Amino acid sequence: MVKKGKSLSVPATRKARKKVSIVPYLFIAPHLLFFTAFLAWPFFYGIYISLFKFDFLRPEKRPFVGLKNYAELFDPKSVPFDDFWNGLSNTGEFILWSVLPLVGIALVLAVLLNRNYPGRGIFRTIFFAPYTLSVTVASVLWWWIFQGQGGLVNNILKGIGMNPPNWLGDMPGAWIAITIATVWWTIGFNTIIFLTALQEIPKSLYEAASIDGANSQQQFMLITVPMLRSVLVFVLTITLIASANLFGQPYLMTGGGPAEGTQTVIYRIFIEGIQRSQMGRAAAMSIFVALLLLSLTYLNFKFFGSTQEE
Amino acid sequence: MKSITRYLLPLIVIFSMLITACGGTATEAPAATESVETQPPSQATEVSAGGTSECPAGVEGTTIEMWSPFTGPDGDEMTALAERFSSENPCGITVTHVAQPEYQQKLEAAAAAGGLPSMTAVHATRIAALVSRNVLKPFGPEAMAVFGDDFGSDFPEGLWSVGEIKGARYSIPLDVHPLIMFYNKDLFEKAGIEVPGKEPWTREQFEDALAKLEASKVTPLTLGNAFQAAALFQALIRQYGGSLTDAAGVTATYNSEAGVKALEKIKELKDKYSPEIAGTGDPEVNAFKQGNVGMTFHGPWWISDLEKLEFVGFAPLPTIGDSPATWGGSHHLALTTEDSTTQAAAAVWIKWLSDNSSGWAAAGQVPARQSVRDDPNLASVAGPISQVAESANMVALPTQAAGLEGALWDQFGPAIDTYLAGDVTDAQAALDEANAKSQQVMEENIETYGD
Repeated sequence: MVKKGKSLSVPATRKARKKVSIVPYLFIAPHLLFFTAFLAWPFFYGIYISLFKFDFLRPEKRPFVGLKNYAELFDPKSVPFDDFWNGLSNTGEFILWSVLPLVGIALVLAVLLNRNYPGRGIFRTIFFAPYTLSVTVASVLWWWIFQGQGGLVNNILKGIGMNPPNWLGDMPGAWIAITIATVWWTIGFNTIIFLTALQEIPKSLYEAASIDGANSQQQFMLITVPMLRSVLVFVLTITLIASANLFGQPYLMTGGGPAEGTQTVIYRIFIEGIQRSQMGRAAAMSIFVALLLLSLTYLNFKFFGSTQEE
Repeated sequence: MKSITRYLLPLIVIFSMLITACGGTATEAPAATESVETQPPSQATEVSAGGTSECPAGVEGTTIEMWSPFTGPDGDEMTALAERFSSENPCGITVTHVAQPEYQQKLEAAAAAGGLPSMTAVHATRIAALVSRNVLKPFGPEAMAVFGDDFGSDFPEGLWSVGEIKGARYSIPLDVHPLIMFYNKDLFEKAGIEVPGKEPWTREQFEDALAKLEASKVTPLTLGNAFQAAALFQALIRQYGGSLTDAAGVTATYNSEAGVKALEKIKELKDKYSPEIAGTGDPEVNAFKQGNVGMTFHGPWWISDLEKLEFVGFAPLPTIGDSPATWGGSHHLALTTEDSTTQAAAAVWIKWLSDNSSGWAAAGQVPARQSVRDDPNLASVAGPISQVAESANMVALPTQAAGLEGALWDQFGPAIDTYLAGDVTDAQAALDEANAKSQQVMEENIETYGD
């Protein structure tokens, strides 16, 4: 971005540095304020809290415990150990269930929605529409569809003479139900990102390929996917993070059941911090999960995101 | 860099001040509008129905804001009662009722931000934690004087005593919500079963009914898991003579012989008489509503819905084990202000509400007071509740200790579900493991909240 030419001479730069303009800071100030208030400050305050046995309603009993809240997470004999790792492995299981459909189906949808046909705009709206709902609406809707007594799915299955599974009270039914609800609810976001990226790919590439005799499948694998690579990594990363933050759907659809099988790590943090008022411990868990996600993201970019060609 | 901080710091400070300022007004604003809306008509001087006690000094013109977790139709009932009191009481006290969703969080946030109302309805099992966490305030002498000396003798002992902590009174029981039986009158008649009365069935009556229902080729009962199974477990462990903890609430004891019997009995009933039902959202009751199930067990909050179905009858939980007992929760009324005049005014309202709790029974709750339950009027105001009113004497609330219910339920709940699903087959081992975990959590709670 540096301009080439005489202005790059050393004295001029120094002079420019001395004269700091307030304007750029004013431009970023609104964002910075909200970022500080709602992200940076809570994050650092969370680290602070995690070093105490902390209950915001009992300032008189708030002993400093150092790293104990973190050490507990690795001590099999401690109170939170079993539940925390159960939550973490449940979250991992959900990531395995959800990330592939959330990315794969979104990509296919985006390709379909990128073609030229009448009513394309309507379909784009329809597929994006669920994303605008709140987690409560989406979850309760799918709870009704999957619930065992008079739910839509099981009524249909019974109607065609099948013995329907107990979706929400059994494994893997509970994960399937939660995954379907989540895909239906959030797929629109990934689709839109893919769609925008698809529109950036020059038409001439496809024209050239079709002249060379490539069929549509080859065009998809050899042009679309490579051209989408950086967007794919981005979508994969945000989907991973979103899936790791799963809370509302099991909270409303399964209550964390059957037998805490869908109690995710965020759900567990909620129970520890809000229901059991062990906020220091909940903060430590959050920080640990954040670090875990950070390293996952790093690996993601390292293995899939290398952009040597560019 | 310095210049950045020079602008940034003041901006952040100003911004955070703005946020706190907004927070303050936001919590106060609804209160103000509510009280305007429900101002009593000044000409209302008709004689009160409930026989109000004399007015404590200085309460004239006091406004009591009461919060509650009653977000359903029961909330409208409470609001109507508050309005009736506001217009009828001779002391010039106005009560505004605000039902709060996500109640616990709202109350705690308000406590932290200094925006607490005057009083609140709370679950009995949460009183100890809310006291330790400085949310609830004890009733002062002015407030206690309103109730008189032997007010407590009209409540079941276990219900009254949970409101007392370290010699101070923190709450007045309002109601009980016990695990009760819903039954299908039509199917009972067809099977030749005599409909249950106000006393709980004996074990023989219960087993006889199951056999007759089975013989008449209908589903005898529906048993699910989650809440229903956990509540039934707590009822049965007492029916078999056991309890969840020792009397002091410091040792978990539900892996006792009675606990194992209770768990095995639920599994037996479920496997033998119930279709496969599991999951949240009370599927066992939804199945019962379809009209081809003999009976099920659940809470009285279902009454207002089930009442609309002609075929549904209500009765106390049958004796399935050795002696009658049931699980139950209880709403209490507690103060969140220390101001003695406001406390006294709140006490006048609490006493009126308690005297008139047959009105509250219409919302689907069993009145806590014996005299109200014995009142023949109850049957006309709330028929189903009068059918199950005896349950109030069958309930034993857990010992009042901070976080105790969670320490127990969060462990035996999943253990019960796992066992009922058939994933483990040794009831004793399942309960042993859960019991040990409960013990560990209870010890942590004692360390956190004890002196």
